[in-house]
Amino acid sequence: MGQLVDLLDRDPTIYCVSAWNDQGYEHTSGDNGLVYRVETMPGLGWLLRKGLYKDELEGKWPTPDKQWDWDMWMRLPDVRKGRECLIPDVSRTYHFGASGLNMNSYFQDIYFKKRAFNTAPSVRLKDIAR
Amino acid sequence: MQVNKYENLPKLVSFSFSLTKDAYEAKLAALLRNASVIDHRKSPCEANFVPSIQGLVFVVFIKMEEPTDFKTWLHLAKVNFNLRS
Repeated sequence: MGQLVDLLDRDPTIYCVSAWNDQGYEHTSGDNGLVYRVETMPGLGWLLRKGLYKDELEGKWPTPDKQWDWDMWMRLPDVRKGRECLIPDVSRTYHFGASGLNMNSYFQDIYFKKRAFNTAPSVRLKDIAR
Repeated sequence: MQVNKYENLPKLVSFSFSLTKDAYEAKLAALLRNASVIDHRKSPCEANFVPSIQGLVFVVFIKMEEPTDFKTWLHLAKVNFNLRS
């Protein structure tokens, strides 16, 4: 993600940089230098500009009494405002753990077990300078 | 020994994108314009739904009744198209 910080800084249409590809399965992902722009906020390991948080999001951040989660809130059209996130073809994070507020072993196996995960070190991402 | 079960399957076309907003949109539009439309009369469950031809970009269109209509996509996403780069 560090290689994308410069783009995040200079392109105001970028909402976040995420290490996670929502569509990144073992049978669909394999180019570890490829980066996409997507019209959502994937989360699961991500960066945002400090200014975006301090000046825009912090004051409206969902309080603990709200029924919705902060990540779902960040995806709302009125919050995301058409901005896009950069994501890798092959995820740099892996979801494991079969227990939690929203998790059990069934969901881990169905949704996360067959996710692609990059294990190659020092990959140079493509097209980040243009 | 770990065996890669996808190694004999067709490879995905290798893309590169410019990541700035306008250039990225232009690149996507060009890819779609030049893509070969898959025969929509076939069922996605048929083995040759995506032709095993390397080096071509294929495109499939699905219908969404509204922005949150993921019904067709969720069915399609369960199909293993045997793609792997």
